[in-house]
Amino acid sequence: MKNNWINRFALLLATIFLGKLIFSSEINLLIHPRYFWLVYFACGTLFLTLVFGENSQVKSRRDLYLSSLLALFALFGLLVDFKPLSSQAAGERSDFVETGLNVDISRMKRFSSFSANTLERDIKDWVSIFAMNPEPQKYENMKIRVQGFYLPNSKGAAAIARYTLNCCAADAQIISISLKEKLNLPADTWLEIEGVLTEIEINGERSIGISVTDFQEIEPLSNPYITYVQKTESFDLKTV
Amino acid sequence: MIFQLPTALNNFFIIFYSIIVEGMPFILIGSLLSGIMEYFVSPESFDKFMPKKKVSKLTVAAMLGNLMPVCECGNIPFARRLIKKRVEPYIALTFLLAAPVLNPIVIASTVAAFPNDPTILFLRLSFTFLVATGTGFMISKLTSKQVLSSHFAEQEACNNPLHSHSHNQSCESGHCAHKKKVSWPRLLSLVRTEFFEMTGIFLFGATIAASIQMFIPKSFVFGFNQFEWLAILAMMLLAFIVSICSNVDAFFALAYSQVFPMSSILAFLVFGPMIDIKAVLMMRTIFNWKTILLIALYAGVFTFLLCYAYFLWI
Repeated sequence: MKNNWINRFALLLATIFLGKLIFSSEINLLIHPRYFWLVYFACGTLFLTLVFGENSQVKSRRDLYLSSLLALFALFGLLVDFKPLSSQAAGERSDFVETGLNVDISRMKRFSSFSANTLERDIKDWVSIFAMNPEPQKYENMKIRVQGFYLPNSKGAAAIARYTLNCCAADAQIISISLKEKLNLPADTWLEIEGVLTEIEINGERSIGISVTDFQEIEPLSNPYITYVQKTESFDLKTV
Repeated sequence: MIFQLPTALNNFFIIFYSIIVEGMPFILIGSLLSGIMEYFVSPESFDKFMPKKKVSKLTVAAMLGNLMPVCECGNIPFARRLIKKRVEPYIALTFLLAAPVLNPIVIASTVAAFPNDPTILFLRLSFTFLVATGTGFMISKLTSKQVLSSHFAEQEACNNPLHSHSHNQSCESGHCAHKKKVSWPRLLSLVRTEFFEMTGIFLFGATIAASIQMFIPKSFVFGFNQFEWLAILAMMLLAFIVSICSNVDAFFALAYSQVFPMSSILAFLVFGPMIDIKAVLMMRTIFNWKTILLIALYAGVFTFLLCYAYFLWI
């Protein structure tokens, strides 16, 4: 078989596709920043094999199919405008908020410190603090300002949420903070919410929620997922 | 960009592409090392390097991962090259099963995820070693002809000294990459060939993994944590479905450690890097389906027994 052009074509498309991910920042939607260098490496290596690799023929029909498949994969990836994982994915996959909490709490205990200014804390900080001390009265009237997407119904209450990532979107898990009142917004609208923490009741149980004083719609963040970066400072509960 | 996808499809493709983009560099690293081995390591050097006794061979194979600290996607091209270098398939298999865990990167990530529990690390490494060598030992009872896929056996035949067509002529089936003097263009071409073969199969694996993730919620396994034996099986099933890279699976497992008993977390950490959807499909480029079924069965049974024994012991 003389269809060696398909090999080069597939390789060219795959290289351009990885380049597109890097330059359009869509790579943020797929994998953890810790692994970006792997994609840079892959893009460079594919380019080298494309330019400097010896011409090789597609040797069998099977090879032809595999090359075509790679070309199709890359072409589709080039044409699609990817959006961040939506809350629907959380519903479909039923990712439990509690599982995210556990990841957080374990890590936060070791690596992070929280700002004394409560307005500077993000969802991850708050969720970790709540996991360590879930008593709602402890946080009564604390000011809060967080960004995330709107979840109309998360375990019985509206919430503001973000996905957390360890490796890639396949392991994304959702963390959220409940809202005292529902907002008149469609699911997945990106928001910045300001308010105060207060005790709320969800399904008959005491919980912590945000009493919203102000909110505004924002563009999805360029890195919509919460990714962990190790810090060396130690956690101090006194700042809570 | 030309078009946007409906929400559900976008979610599916985000997961699908994330698996591919994460795995593709590892396949390339594996293909690169495989190509380098083709040119710089002769079959005879393996014969010298490998011990003669089967138990020692299995031990060395299980430890080879320390030279190849990548996940299962990267190990398969390397394992294919090992067999092409006349290493017995069961040795390559033992390497394939053990290397995703018995390597410095995975050891470091397990320590980072479970810093206060050195038992987890110790048991993960020990159980992986035992399951990999045990499965390798069981598969060693079969001949190469019985375990290799017909396509791969045909390729491997080229490296057999009894393979007898003239190296000045092209092989009729076109599967030979006849060795000439080392040249970078040829090496890169070899990397490309290996990469195409692996990535094509990987795409199928990622499609199935992403589909199952969308349709079978992870919370499905939460219903099975009442009984220890059921929890172990559930976490093995989760590991099979999620197909997460072994370099980071400890962090993923950590999220379940409050809900599931430690024996089942161990089962996830031991079984997942060996047998998952994408790995099984990629193994198909080496082994036939019957052998893959046997490998999954042995690895599954050994993992289950070891983890259940741990539960009974604590």
